[in-house]
Amino acid sequence: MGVRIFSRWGGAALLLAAAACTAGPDPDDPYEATNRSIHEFNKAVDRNALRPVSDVYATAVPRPARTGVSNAVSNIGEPVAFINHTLQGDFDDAGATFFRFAVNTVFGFAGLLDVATDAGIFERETDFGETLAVWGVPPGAYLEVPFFGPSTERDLFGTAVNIGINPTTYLLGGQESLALVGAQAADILNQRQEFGAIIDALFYESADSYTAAKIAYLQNRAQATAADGISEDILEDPYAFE
Amino acid sequence: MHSNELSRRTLLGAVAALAVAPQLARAATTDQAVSFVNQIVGELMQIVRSSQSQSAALRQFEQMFDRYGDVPVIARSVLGQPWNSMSGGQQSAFVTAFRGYVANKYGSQFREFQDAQVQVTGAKDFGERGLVVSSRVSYAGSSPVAVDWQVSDRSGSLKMFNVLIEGVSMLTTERSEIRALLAQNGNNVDALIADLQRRGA
Repeated sequence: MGVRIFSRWGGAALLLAAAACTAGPDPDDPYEATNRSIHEFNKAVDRNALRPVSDVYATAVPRPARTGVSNAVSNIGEPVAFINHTLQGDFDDAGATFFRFAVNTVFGFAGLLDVATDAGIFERETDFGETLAVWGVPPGAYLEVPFFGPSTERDLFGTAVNIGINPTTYLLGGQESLALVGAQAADILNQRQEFGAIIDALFYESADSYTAAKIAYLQNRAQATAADGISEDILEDPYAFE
Repeated sequence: MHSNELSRRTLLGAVAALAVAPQLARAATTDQAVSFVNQIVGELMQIVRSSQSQSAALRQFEQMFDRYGDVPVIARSVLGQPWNSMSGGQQSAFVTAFRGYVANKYGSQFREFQDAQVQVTGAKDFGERGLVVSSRVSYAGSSPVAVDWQVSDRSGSLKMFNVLIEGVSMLTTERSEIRALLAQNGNNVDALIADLQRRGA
């Protein structure tokens, strides 16, 4: 109940802020021209750096080791997911996330092994952008962010808060946080490898990769907060063709 | 005694008929949609797990898409307005080319699903927007992927007209793709058809 009252006011304030920002020629994508050039930049980063370096990483480091590093990075992110699930009033996912963190930290050697997933308790990914969505904050304009890729005004703000509320940011010392940055970079290289076929198809085989990425991002985000995982706005009736 | 038994049976039958009647009056039921998607998934996994060549699998996949998918409705919907100014011959050529293009594009990713388990979890009626059957595709050691099937019987029998993977609609995605291809082909539908034929070959 407290969350709901807060959401109404927080949502209204941010809605006004978002409305002020989104006044532009195309209400669906007011920053399209800028977004498209950033998209080309991101593709160039992928083509010239991320993909080739990821290939080197995959060749040099065997898969179990890569998965271990990625598991550890995911595990360090669980407390933030726990905070967000709680803020969303989703105590089911908050409980599962807490359980995963405890089990993987204790029995999975500080998260190197994802024993919780092996037991059927899957990661419930979330972030502060999703929390804002649950609170009723509209996404605002679509944005392509250099190096980060697709986002929205709401989600970019959410990403910043998400980084800010991570307890490990404050608990780790200088050398440890440097190690964490390294592990996070390795995790990105591994993800580029694991989702390679999908990313290649989206970036290099789409006739309009900017729009393909935008649709995929926006519809996937809408689904994440929809009841039963089905966003009614996305369902269409192709039989009503004129 | 005998007639008494009969009348009781008649009565039971009437009650059963009453219970069934509202479902018959409505179009397809969620139960029908679930078994329809189960049938699609079963055949799909058979193709995916078979040891046949990629080209043979793609041919089978295209036949499946033709049989279970409402291909003309999907094709017309993703093309949009240009459909209306096409001749009947162009329209049917477009539908055939689109079918091959889709089968090739999505079918060629199929080996990725070889070790997957697909579980149909339920269905929900969205009225004019058809029935949505939900399924989970799971792999050992990773989170399951949500795949939703949008089906309808408005073309006469139950047909699948959209698939949503983790919320991402194939209708929306392909509409953007086909429009971009049309623009690349100088807004010439015959050139678009030839392009799709090449991509589906």
